This record gives sequence, C-alpha cells and structure tokens, in this order.
Amino acid sequence: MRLGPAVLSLANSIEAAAEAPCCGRPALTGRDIALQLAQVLSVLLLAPLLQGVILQFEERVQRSQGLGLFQPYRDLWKLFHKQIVVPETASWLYWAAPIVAFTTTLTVPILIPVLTDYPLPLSDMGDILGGGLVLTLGSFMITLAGLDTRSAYGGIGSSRAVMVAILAEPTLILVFVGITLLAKAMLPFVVNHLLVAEPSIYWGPTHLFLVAAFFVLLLVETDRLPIHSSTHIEIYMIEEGRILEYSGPILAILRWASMMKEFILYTIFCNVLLFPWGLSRQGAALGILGSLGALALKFLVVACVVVAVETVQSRLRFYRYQEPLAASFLLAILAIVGTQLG
Amino acid sequence: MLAAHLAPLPAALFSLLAIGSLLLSFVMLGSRWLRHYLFVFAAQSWLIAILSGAVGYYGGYAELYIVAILTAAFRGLLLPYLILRIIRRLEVHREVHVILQASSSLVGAAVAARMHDGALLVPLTATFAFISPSLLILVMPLLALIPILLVLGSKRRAIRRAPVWYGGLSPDPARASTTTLTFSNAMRTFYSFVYRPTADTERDADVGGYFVRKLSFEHDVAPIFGPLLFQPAVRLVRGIATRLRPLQSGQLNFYLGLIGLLLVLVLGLTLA
Repeated sequence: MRLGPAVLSLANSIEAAAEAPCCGRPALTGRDIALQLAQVLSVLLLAPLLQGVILQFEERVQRSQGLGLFQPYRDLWKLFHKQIVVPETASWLYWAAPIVAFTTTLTVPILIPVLTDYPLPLSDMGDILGGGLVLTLGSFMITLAGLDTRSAYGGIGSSRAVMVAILAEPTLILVFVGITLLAKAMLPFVVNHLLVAEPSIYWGPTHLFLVAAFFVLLLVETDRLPIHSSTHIEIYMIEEGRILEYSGPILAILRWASMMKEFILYTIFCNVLLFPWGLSRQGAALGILGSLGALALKFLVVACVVVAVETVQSRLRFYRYQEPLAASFLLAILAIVGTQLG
Repeated sequence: MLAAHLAPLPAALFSLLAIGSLLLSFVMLGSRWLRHYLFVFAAQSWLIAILSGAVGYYGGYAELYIVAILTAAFRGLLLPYLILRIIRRLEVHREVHVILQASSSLVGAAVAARMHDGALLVPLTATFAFISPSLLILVMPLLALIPILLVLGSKRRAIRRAPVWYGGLSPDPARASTTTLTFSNAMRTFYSFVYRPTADTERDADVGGYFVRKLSFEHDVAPIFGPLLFQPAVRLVRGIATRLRPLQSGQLNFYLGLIGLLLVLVLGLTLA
C-alpha cells in the first residue's frame, strides 16, 4: 500500500501521545488539563455564537435586518429566567433527557481535536465511533422524552426523528468505514495528521467524496434544509416537536445542547475532514488563540455554504427525505470504491 | 468409591495418581509455551500409564498392562516426539502464547488482556480504535453536574404542573398519546415496498351521507418474510416427509422385504 509507511510513523507518534495519559507518563501536565478544559469551554460558550451567525446571515441574505449575532445568548438568558411548566403526564425521563443530552455534548469535545491536533487528557475515552455513540445517546434520550409526555406532537416528532436517523444511519456507517479505510484508523487525530501530511490523499477522490457525504449528514443532523427547517410554527416539525413540552431552564438546556451538537459536528467536519490545518501543535497560548481564529474562519466558510443551501433549497416533503440521504449514501459508496482503486 | 473395597495403600496410591494427573491437566491449561505443554502432556500420560498398571496389578486385570504400555508408548512418547519435531520445523514456539493460554482464555482473560490498555478498550491496536466505557461512566456523571447545577441555579419560581397541549383540544391523554401504529407509520410508508401496508376504511352512513353511523378501520402489514422465506422451507421439508412416509408405513412385511432387499444388495456387492 502506498500509505503504509507514512501512516505507520504517524500512528506511532499518535500512539505515544494517546497512551500517555493512561500509562502514567509525565504527560498529564497542568497545561494539558487546562487545554482540555478550554476545548470544552470553547464548545460550551461559542456554540450559541455559531447558531447566531448562521441565523443572522440567513436574515441578511433575505435582505432583512436580523436579530444580531448574539440573539441565541439572549434567548438562553431569557429561558433561564422563566418558570418551568411540567406536563402532568411526565415521568423521570422528562427530567433526565435534557441532562443526558447536555452531558453528551459536553463529553464529545473531550474526544475530538477542537483546539489542538494532539490528544489531550481523557481524549482516549472514545474514537470517532465512540463520539458518535455518545452523541446518539443524547438524541435517543430526547426521543424517549418526546414519547414520555404523551403529547401528540412529541410522539410524531420522535417518530420522524427516528425515521430520519434510520435513513441517515447507512451513510453514517459508510462514512466511518470510508474514513477507516482511508486512514487505517478510527481516531480523529490520525485522520487529521494524515490529511495534513499527504496532499495526494487530501485531494484524492475518497476524501472529497467523504467530505461531500458528510456534508449532507451535517445538514441532516443539524436540523437544516432540505431535510427539515428549524422553525417551531409548523406541523412538520421534527426537532422542535420532540421538545415542545419543555419550558424554562430545561428548555434552555436542550436548546444549548442542540447548539453544542451543531458546533461539535462542524468541528469534526472542519478539523478532521475538510480543513485539517490551523490547529495548535504545541498547545502554547498563542497557538490556541490562532487555532480559535482558524476555527472561526473555517466555521464561517461552512456556515456560508449552509446558508447558501438553506436559501436556494426548499424543504422536501417528508417522504422524499431519503433522496438527499440516498445521494450521500452513493457518495460514501464511491469514496469506498475510491479506496479500493487507489 | 474407589477406595472402599481396597487396601489403604493401593487406595492412597490410586488417589495420588488420579489427583496428580488432574493437577497436570491444570498445568497444561495454564502453560504458556507449547514445549512446556507437551512435556506436561507426556508426564501426565506416564502417570495415567502407571495408574492403569497399578489398577491392573491390584485388581488382577492383565489386559490393563497392555493399556498402560500403549498409553506410555503412544501418548507419553510418540505423540509428544512427533509434535516437538513439527514445532522445531515450524519454529512456532512464540505464537503459542495466546493459542494455548487456555486457563485464562476460558474466562476471557487472555483476550481481555490483549483488548485493553489501561482503562481503554482497544479492538485491534491502540492506533486503530479505542473506547473506554469505564472512563465514560466515570466522567459523564461528573459532567452531568454542570447542567444539573445550571437548572437548579436558575430555578427562580416554583414548578407548575399543567396538562399536555393538544393544539387547544383536551382529549383523554391516554387515548391521545402516540400509539405504536403512529410511531411506526413513517417506517411503514418509507419501506412500503417491503411491508406493503394495507389500510381499509369502511363508512356506514345514512341516506344523505352526512352522518356516519359506523366507521370501521382495518390496517395490516403484508407479510414478506413468512411467504418468501419461511414458507418455501416448510413446504420443502413437508414435501420430503410426505414422499418418505411410505418407508415408515408400519407394515412388518414391508420392513422384512426391505431387509431382504438389503441382504441381496450386500450379497451382490460381495460377489461382484
């Protein structure tokens, strides 16, 4: 194989770094812990900003004033000061779901390269598949909560969310398989290093098709058109339908969790697949600031593309949702065929 | 037991030999090297040979001497010698480590030892994939404190309980809740080429057609695995059984006839 030696040397360096926290080497420094905290905090604090940027850009494209970049922060603040109204039929699941969803979105930033291109303490709790597992747990809990309150809207929302997940699952699995075949690893850090080190792989068909397939998944998972729009005034709602019975601080927790999920998926898309450059290599303060700036630039590019898609693309009928997902499935298959040809 | 009708000395000897060979089998299970395994195997064979010899001697069974000699010769000498030659030729002594670590692989310890690295679960190598359920179980509840504190810290007013909102209507929640049929409707529609759902509605109205007197709704899913997968297999087995049934007709004459036929066949084969 032509990737063999490069991947091997890379894998060794990654292995050394990845094993460090568990094997008692002096790698568990205060700076690494601070960096890991910074990763979680940047996802926690910047996620509403990403949402605000996308919404504001969409408003501007439609030539309206927009609510400002910081509106999601204001919304969260407002919700945290409201009363909690609980349905009479709600059980403990109603309370557990937001907490679990928020926790999962706090956990995944630990596993992925947000600011640094090397593993930090506890980064070895899971690979790409592990991160996907943790994120799915949060979504699963919200689905259960949607059914739990016996609300007709929550039930329909849960049913549709499960259906979309079922349709998206084959693509997701194939993208994971494609990444594994490309990098011979499921670790986001290895994929990142490989794409930086080998431009021929970056510009190869496998990687580009995987990017395209993952982009469709990104639209689906972050509640964007053409799959489903995020407005809460329609009867076709999916994400909003599941959480319709929530109010006050627990609704704020759920909203915040979904913003963080969006931020996490953008981070995986940018830092692992699309723009693997611009991450801090040493973990110095300047490098971290630089990688934050780079992250902002990358997200801006992806957000502009998402805004363009949302503007030109109308929403599909529910029973045509499999069309974009079938397209992304095809792209993922082509990517895998590409690995076998190479 | 064995020792009941025997003199104390032979009884003790038998027990010693039996327990010794049992001990050696545990040693075999635990040995990491194929060479050690074989030596223990040979030693155990000798023990068994001595045991059969002793039983033969005390019990007066002459044929057990032959068993003892054969055991010692084949199981104790020839077999280990042959396998040792193979090992020497193939130079496999290192790979044995995992294959023969039977005592621990019985409880999965050998596999487990290779699949974990500290608290990590490592399926292939540490550079291919890993996940650490134990760490996740520790870390995630700690992280869950953040949203819990956020909710608790922001709770200014008492929690109000209210009925679920059904778009302004107030049906019985038990009847209005999502049924399995509702939940799986999207699935059945998307994969209608597999499930082929049917839904029939019959209205029984008055003459004008305004007031519905009776409304019957039936839904079903066309079975696909039954008619296409299981039914052909069942039909095949049933068909074969029907064809073979005359063979088991229960008539003795028929059976005797069959046996006679068989005899003729055997004779014919022998003569040919």
